[in-house]
Amino acid sequence: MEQIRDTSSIKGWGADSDKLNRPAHTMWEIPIEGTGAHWETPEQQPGFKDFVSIERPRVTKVFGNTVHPKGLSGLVRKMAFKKSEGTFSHWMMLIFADRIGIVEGYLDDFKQGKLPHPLRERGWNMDKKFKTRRYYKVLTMSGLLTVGLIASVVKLTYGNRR
Amino acid sequence: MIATNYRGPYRIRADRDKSLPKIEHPNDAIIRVTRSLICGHLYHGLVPDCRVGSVFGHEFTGVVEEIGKSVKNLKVGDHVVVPFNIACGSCLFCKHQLYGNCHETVPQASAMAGFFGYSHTTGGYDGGQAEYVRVPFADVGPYLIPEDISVDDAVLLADAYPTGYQAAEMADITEGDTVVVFGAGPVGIFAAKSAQLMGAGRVIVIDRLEYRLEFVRRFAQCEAYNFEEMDDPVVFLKKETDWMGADACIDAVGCEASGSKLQGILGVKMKIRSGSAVALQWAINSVKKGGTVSIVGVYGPTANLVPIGNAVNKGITIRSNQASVKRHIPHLVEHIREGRIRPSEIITHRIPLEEVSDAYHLFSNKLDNCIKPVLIPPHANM
Repeated sequence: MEQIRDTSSIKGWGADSDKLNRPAHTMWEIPIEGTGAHWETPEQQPGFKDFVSIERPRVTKVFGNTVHPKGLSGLVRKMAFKKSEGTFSHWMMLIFADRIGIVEGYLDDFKQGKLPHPLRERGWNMDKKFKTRRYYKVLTMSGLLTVGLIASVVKLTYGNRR
Repeated sequence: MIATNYRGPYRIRADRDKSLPKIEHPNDAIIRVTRSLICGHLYHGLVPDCRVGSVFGHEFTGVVEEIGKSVKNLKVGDHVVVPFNIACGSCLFCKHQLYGNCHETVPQASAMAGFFGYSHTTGGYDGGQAEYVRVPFADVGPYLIPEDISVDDAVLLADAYPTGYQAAEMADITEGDTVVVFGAGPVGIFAAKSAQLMGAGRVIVIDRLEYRLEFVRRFAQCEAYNFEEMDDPVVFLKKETDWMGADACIDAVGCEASGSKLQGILGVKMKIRSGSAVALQWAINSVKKGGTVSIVGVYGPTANLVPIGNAVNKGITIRSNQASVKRHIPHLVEHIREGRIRPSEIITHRIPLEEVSDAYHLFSNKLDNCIKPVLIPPHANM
């Protein structure tokens, strides 16, 4: 048999032993004090520019409204939203669209005059501090790759002229 | 304003040219963020429809800067903690306090409720890792931070602590029960402590990171074991529980669990399953016949490799949900007041919002014994 443990030193042990004192002891309880809502049905937020799940009859009353679908990733998302949430293809198309969005993100950065810095965006400063070996390994590999690329371009350009 | 900008898996930065949020609905509020916490799943690119350009951050506190014309329960200047779920307060689910299941906040999906800063699968709302954030249904979600509760304790009431508490509550713990918690991350730590508050006779935490096991032993006054030092965690737990299994098991890990190469390759690397469900597999196999498995670990919306046949054969109850944060906050505030728990003890790093790339890398790679980093915008006090 398992031994009975002494719980007397455990701070707060058993404070919520009574299940009736736990906030969600009945899952479907209607709160007496209300939920904070003072409407039967909320007003509709205007300006929806996204896709609606085909498992819904309409746009919900509120929604996020900042990163709208666009470009090739937007087209893939449009296809994804023709499928229900129960289909594997719906989610895989969304993940595929997310990956296309990464490339589009680079292009957007360049268009806005921003130079993306993938290593800095990955927080490599922390590696310098806490994983120095990995930091210098990545730095060396990146350096060698860059030199190799430049050398190849130079060779292709000037090599062809001879 | 300064706001995080997601650029793809493992890539995030702070931009200074993000437009200020504006009131878009009569019950919106604009909040000036004072604290924002970091969570890893989106950063790893595991949640579908997570678009480049999104602002992350679903756990935050802030001061009310502006309110919509129908807002009655908040006023400018109030310092509030904002639950991570956005709830209308009037749909079938909200009326019954299932705020994590609100049906009026996500056009793009029907299974999820709206979350701040958590992909378009949860509504595409900008999150709180920014100087300012738009908070819909301001009369329902935000909770005024009591004067005797610190802002660092309060910010953990937005998600991690209520989620851990609800995990224990869903495990249906009766006094004297043996409870196993898989995962010693922030939610697992709070689940272990909450199991003690509910009178568990024995709480066992399983993880692979020694510093986290050490922390949870102290914080929750429980047992904690490293599964990498075991041949088979399920057999270990059976031995520890008189060969019967635990009364309840809690999965506080979710889709990024270590411990199985097959699950890791299919779910995390190839993403043809919604993550690696090793912790859930262990939970189902380690629980006693007729016991309860409580799931709060985050999983994607597709399918997972779980031993559902064993669940049927053992007659176990599986309970799961996103935490109804608003429902739990007043009760958890009392626990803080009574000195039974101090949530802010899990905050290991305080990092300026501008250094968000470093903060995510630190958290994601568990560097410098990181448990929970907090981001602090420039106008807020460190």
